[in-house]
Amino acid sequence: MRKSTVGVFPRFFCVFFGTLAASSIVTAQTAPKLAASAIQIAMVEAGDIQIPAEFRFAVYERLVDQVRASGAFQKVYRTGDHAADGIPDLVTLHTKVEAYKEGSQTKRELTTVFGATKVDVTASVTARDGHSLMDQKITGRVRFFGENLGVTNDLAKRISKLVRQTF
Amino acid sequence: MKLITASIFILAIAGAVLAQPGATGTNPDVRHVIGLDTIKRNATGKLTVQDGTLRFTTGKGETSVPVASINDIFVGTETTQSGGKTARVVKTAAIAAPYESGKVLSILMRTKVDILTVSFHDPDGALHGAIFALPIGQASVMRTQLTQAGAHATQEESAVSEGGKP
Repeated sequence: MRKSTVGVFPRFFCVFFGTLAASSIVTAQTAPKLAASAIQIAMVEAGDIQIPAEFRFAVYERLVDQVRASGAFQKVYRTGDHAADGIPDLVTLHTKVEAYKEGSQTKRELTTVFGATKVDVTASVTARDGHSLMDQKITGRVRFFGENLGVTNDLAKRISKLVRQTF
Repeated sequence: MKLITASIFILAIAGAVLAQPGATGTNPDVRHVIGLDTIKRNATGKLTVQDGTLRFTTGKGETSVPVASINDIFVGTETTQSGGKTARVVKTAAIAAPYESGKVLSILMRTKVDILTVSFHDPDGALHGAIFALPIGQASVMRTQLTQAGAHATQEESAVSEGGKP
């Protein structure tokens, strides 16, 4: 007696996509978005890494702008702002530089392969009691056009996107 | 022959762009990179220290930071492109030039600038960092003026950064 193979592939696809859909539902259920009404952006820490001050300040300023523009929080405070003191559900965004490689704009534009500026950071969000709500390594790069400081824009965009996905 | 023609064409464009007032420094020559809330990014204007304030004035307005609120000043360098927006457009258009001769513009139009970073607190205590691009050699002068006016700055040597490879 011959077994019919008709319908094997449709059944396989049904099972495959069904599993995929179920797993995405499970993922969505297990990783719900966190809620906080306000966030404070801490100054970028460099630790022992040699990075020009303008890069740290540019990342900080761009982060304040990007997180504000994301609309994920009702209020976005800078570090040291006394207005943030009384907010119970305040979370804090910390950025720590892990590595910095200074590139060259001229090399980038002449070769398109060499001269990229790269900054690796760890971005973390903590609650008032200090427990971690998000912790991830992110890399910012400027590859072709633009001055070295452009890396701060790329980095701030990536961190802001991550924060928006979490909250 | 074509290569020579293309190179002459590129050089002519570069010459025209660099000859514009924006590139020669006859206009206000300090560029606000980021950090002043009421001033647009990349706006050019005059940066002065007077009456106990650091003042940045553009054609559309001005903003001032009390010198007493400044808690640190950093000086660095960066290599950037001269010629402003016009140069950027020309450079982008030059990508289409034959034999990649448009890349010559990258060498011709680069210029080194000083980067002045001023860290200050607003009346609520919030930390701000205003970053300016100045003609080379001017940031140290501005730093001296600010410290003489009463701005706080950490040790001179450690505050000077070494950024900005060409």
